[in-house]
Amino acid sequence: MTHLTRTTARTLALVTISALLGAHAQKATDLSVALYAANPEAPAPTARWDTGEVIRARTGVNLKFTMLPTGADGDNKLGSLAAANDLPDLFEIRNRNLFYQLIRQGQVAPVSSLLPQMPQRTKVRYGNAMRNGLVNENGQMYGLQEPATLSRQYGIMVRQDWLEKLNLKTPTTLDEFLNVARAFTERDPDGNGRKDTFGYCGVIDFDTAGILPGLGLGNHFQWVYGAYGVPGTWNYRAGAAFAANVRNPNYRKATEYVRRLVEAKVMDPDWATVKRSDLRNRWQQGKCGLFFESVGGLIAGFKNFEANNPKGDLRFVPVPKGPSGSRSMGTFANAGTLLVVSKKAMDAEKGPAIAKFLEWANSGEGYYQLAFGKKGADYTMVGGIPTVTTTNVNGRLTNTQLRFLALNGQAAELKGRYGTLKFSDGRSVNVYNLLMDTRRNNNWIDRSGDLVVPAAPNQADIDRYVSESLVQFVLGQRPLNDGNWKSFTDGLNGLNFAGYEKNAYAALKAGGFVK
Amino acid sequence: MTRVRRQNDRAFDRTVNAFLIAVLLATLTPLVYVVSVSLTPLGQTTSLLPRAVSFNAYEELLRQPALIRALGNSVFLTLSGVLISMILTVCTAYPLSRPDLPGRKFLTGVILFTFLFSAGLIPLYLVIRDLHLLNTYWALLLHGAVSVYNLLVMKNFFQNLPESLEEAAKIDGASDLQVLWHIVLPLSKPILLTIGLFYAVTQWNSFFEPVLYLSDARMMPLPVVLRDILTGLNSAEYIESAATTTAPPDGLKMAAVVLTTIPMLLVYPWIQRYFTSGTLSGGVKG
Amino acid sequence: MTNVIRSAPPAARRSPRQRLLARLWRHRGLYLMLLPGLLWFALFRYWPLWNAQIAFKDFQPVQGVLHSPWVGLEHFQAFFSSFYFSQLMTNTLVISFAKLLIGLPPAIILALAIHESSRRGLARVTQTVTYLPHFLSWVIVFGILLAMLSPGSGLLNKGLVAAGGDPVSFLTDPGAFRAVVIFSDIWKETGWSAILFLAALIGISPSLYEAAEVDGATRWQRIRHISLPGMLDVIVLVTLLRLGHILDAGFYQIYVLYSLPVYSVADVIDTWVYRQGIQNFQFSLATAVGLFKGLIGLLMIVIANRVARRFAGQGLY
Repeated sequence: MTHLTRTTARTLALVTISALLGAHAQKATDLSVALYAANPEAPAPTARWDTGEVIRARTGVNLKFTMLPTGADGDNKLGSLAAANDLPDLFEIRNRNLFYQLIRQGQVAPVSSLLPQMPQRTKVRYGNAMRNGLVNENGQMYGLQEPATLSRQYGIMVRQDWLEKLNLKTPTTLDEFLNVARAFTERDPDGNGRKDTFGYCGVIDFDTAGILPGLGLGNHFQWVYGAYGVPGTWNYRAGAAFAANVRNPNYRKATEYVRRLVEAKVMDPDWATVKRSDLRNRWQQGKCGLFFESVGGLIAGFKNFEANNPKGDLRFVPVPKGPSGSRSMGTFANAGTLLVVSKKAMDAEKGPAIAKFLEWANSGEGYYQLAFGKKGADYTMVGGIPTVTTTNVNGRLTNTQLRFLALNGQAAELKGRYGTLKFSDGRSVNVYNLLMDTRRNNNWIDRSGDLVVPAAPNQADIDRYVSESLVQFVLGQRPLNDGNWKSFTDGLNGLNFAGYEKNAYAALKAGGFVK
Repeated sequence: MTRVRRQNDRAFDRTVNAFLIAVLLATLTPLVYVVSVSLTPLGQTTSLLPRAVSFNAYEELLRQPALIRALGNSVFLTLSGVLISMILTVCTAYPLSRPDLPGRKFLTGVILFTFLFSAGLIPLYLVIRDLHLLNTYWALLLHGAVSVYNLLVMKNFFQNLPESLEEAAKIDGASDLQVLWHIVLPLSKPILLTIGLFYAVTQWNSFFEPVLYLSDARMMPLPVVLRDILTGLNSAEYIESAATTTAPPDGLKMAAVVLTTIPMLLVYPWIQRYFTSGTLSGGVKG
Repeated sequence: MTNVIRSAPPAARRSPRQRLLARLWRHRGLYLMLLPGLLWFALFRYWPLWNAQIAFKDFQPVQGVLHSPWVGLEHFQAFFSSFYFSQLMTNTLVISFAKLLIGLPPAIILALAIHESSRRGLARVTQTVTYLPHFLSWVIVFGILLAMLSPGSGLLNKGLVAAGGDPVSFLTDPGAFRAVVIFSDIWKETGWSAILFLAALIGISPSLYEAAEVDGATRWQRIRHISLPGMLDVIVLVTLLRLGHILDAGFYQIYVLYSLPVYSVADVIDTWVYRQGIQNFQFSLATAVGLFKGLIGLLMIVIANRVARRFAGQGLY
């Protein structure tokens, strides 16, 4: 009874809105869409969800939206849907292994037929040959590879107030970095009389949000390998020179530098086991002089940091140079969200509806509704920049749960998303500028090709072998000498590492990433 | 002789109590730490006992609108889950505990086999799909409704009940169901409560299965929603507006733990009332 | 057969088959009661086991379980011949047996102590408090362990340093890590496991204790001769069931607590399956390893059941 009434009310509302907006309700196509949660903390869309209603009225799509949890749980959920041959019509893939598996199993459809049906979107987003190469398999285009909306937002931060207090200059080379880190550890920069600060805080972290961690010690130590010219997994050289960086003598030198950091005790003694959230706790509490962090991490934690360190001053420093002048914060893939269409949806002739919906989400009303919410309520345009105005934070977040379909990474959008950060002492920082700084000043190296390298059959063992050996070296569990390093690189043979390299080269060559 | 024994007993008593106090402290210290972190305000380092107290973390979580619905979902799932599980477990354990039931050993073996060989995530998921239970609460209530472990423990308990009572009832012409209901179950309160609690806790804490079997975010239970809220408040890589939280990230995490544990803490003393010796004294003879 | 029937007086004896049918009919109520449970096992345990044939197949979701091509023992071989196989087996067995041998006695002792204590208030509070850690997820326990064990700021290490010792990096030291796994498991689960033993103790008739009192038995003797035998069958049952899952060393705990410096002593079958099988979507491999674990569990339980019947006079079946 109640259910009936509710349905009737919903239909009535729909008809009213449709009539107002001049669309035809009877043409509505059911479309199941699954995206990783954009705003997991916000309540899930209700039956009378503003964005859902607008979509139905404008595009004739009756949206069934599934919010995938971020991280491994979301991957597993998608994997289960795949195993059950029950994939949504349109969905996002973050794990490339799953992408290639779905292509092999024939569960996702080629999408080239959609492109002419959404000309504007194709022009803006799918015109880049390199990015399209990331979704090409057997000459077919199996996915819609969006441009990166946010990438390389990482860098090394320094406690500027500590530098000034100890009369130190911003470190620009690896040696200077070690000296500053040592001073931060030993000369009591916070003046509390205790030796409880650390020169450098970094943890072992392989999150791929906008950067590529590569084989080895992960994101927080890539800059050391970058200083020796060996960041990332592959060297991207042509022909016989192609190899994994781990075989390069400089790779050992970089590992030796990390060993020196550990030996000098400038890192917290449990750095190899704690997680990123623990690292964040520590810098917010004023324990870290230099640390690896993202712009987002800075925004999220600055309040707690200020409360703990009223006179604290944090700055990004340019990535330090190595002995031969090389410098790079790490590697990244110049690609954003990957959207795919299930074969079942294409067979059910939902292609046109999907194209219409995506084209609508590309620009104008659809774009703003998905990316920023309801105009006038959630945001207003200020000088061409969509600016958030609402105090109903949760309502806006719910309205923008589908924003990964709309975001394009262009300047106006980033300026709208990232405003000004105000400190309690009156200073303020423009976050958009910070983002541009971390992007430009750190000599990031484009290794988008890494995305097409097929996982080895024993990928988990290879990952473990390299990372575990390096950790043993830098912790001193295994002395870093010629014999041990040789036995480490020889050990790669037991894992058929050469086969992995060979397949990687073939894939990179086919994609045009190496000559 | 009696005096010596009494002295020995008193020493024994002191040892037991000292042991309990030691265990209590060893367990309590980390728990106090959890509560303490949840109450630590911004800008304070955490310690075993907080130097200042702030309820910001709790306010922050409780003002999330998604929370109330999730709490309701969790209570519903836990209550109905326990009901279904207990009915299935008792009705299977009791017949298998009767020594004269033909085929008892075979059937126990059939059940034990599934304890050893679990098919794993995907094979079960495919069954849930084929039964059309995806995106319904039935999937969560049924997929693990019977635990072989609990079933065997209960069967074991039933087996050890004195047979004489049931036989007497049988002679009086009572049916099997009547014997179970009027004689066996009243004698089995401690084990029923224990097993019921086991089921309740499993359902209450269930975390991955809801994500797996449900698609509608509005159906999610408390642990999932709390996790999402925490991810949202802490997922620094994608955060846009300047941080609005007034509590440190660790405080939020620990406050979420305290919030989910409180209901179970409230239930336990009630169950404990039945955990005193002598519950069985009426009628049971050793 | 026919002879037997003919030679027997028809009214006095019935054939074995008739007798069986009569017995079955007499228990019809019990069978009826069994029906829903058995149906549940058929649907939610045996049907998935039927689907578990994907362990021997190259599973193709579009074709379904039945029509996917067979690959024989390929997935099992991938596991057995994997680089770390022997290390995974060793770690799993060591951690699992240690948890059983070191972890079970505290639960029994705690149950006895709660049961024996003359201070009911203390006993109740202890029981409630020790039961609470069960509700903390391993992620939270990791946070607590860090606060207690961190070499920089952990409470325990501060104590060690104050006593003149050197701080120990419990979580990254391969020599200490397994102890952390076992003792954190004891801390978290002992109170919870004790509930079951307590329920068994309460099931013991008070008249037995009264008789012992009259006979002049000490408290210790009462534990040895009444309490322990009274909970023996539960102890045997729990031990046997744990042996059946001997290759489960506790996935979530290890997944949260371990890190690269201690992989060599901490990586177990389930964490490997998670990294290699689940994260790379090799579901057939994950299923194959699950079946292998079942086979070992079956072996363990058959052997242990023999032992239990001989020494404790009872077994699982």
